[in-house]
Amino acid sequence: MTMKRYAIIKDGVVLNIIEYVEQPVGTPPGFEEGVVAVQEDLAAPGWLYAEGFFTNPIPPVPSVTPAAT
Amino acid sequence: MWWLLYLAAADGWYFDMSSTINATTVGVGGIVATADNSGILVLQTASTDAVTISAAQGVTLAGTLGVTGITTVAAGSAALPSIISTTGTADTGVFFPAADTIAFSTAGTERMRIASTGAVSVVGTFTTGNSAPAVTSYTSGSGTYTVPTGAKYLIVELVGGGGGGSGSGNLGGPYGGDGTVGGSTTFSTSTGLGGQPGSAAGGGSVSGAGGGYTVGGTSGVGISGGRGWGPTLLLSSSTNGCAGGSTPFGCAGGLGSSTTANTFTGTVNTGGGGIGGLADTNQYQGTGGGGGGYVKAVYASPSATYSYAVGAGGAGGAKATGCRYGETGSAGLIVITAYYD
Repeated sequence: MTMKRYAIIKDGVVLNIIEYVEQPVGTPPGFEEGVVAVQEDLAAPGWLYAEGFFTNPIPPVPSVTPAAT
Repeated sequence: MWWLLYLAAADGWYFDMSSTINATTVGVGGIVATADNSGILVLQTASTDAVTISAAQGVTLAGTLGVTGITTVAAGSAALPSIISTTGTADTGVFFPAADTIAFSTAGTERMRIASTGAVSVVGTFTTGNSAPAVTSYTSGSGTYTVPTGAKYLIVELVGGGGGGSGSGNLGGPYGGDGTVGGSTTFSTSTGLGGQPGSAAGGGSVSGAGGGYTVGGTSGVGISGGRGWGPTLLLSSSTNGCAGGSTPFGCAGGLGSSTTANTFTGTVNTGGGGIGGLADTNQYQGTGGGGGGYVKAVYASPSATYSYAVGAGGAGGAKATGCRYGETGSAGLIVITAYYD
């Protein structure tokens, strides 16, 4: 049984990441109407979803390189 | 005046030839009857003995006793209770050992007492007739939990998904990629947030923080997940990636292996943070993801159903050239125990 990661999306925003064996039909179980599940391996809660693409609204900010030890 | 009676009617007084009945008025009126020569008095209805009074004044009713007033009995004792059954022995029944106190005995020994204060004391093993607690767990997916019929309250434990570890990177760059935050695990209004990802920025300067929580229910506690382990720059050797953060539900994502890439994740369904990427000479280890937040909540007088969702572990971060990927965080978990007492 292989689990796949699905992004739980409402109004274009990823609410959560849940694993299912199969693609939920219609509204994923336990969620309200208007929520959809889209198979995605890398997205995380808070990401945006539009036209089939996921984007991180807050991309990682490079920080100072730590000193060599 | 003495009367010699033999009433053959279906309902009425019955006496044999030696019996007598004194019908008289005493006070406001009544009948005084005497028993036969054996001392036994019998009253019949429908040609059947209905009431038998023995010579020792014991009364036996053949039918159902209906009382519209109050029935009083002697106090009795554990050895000779005042209320007993015809199916047992005389040393098993109900008695009244003191004012405003009721007690129960079996085999002549007191087993339970209800005092005037309402305090209940039991001698022996106390058991109930209800079922053992019903335990349900979810390790993935979402849906609706149906509360078992008769359940008085629920204790719900849950943990969010662990954050993903970051990939390892090279000295001076390029660095690895960040992991992603773990999914949140929810049960009704209780939430264990997913652990934060390990960061690869600047060579992996930030380890993943543990996820927070919202208790929900009628009471409970919550604990944030543990922070992942920070990075190290390796100048001369190979070593494991950094450990992911821990949660109260299980161990952290373990250390990565310096010899095997992308094969280790945190113990499944413990919400452990993902492992940082492995590192070799002149590389930065990836940082560990944070553990998922933990909640233990009580749902008293539960509703019929509750919605739930199990958060997935965060994805592992990308690797720099010649480096290793970060590992996926461990998915969350929900354990629901329904109690009937």
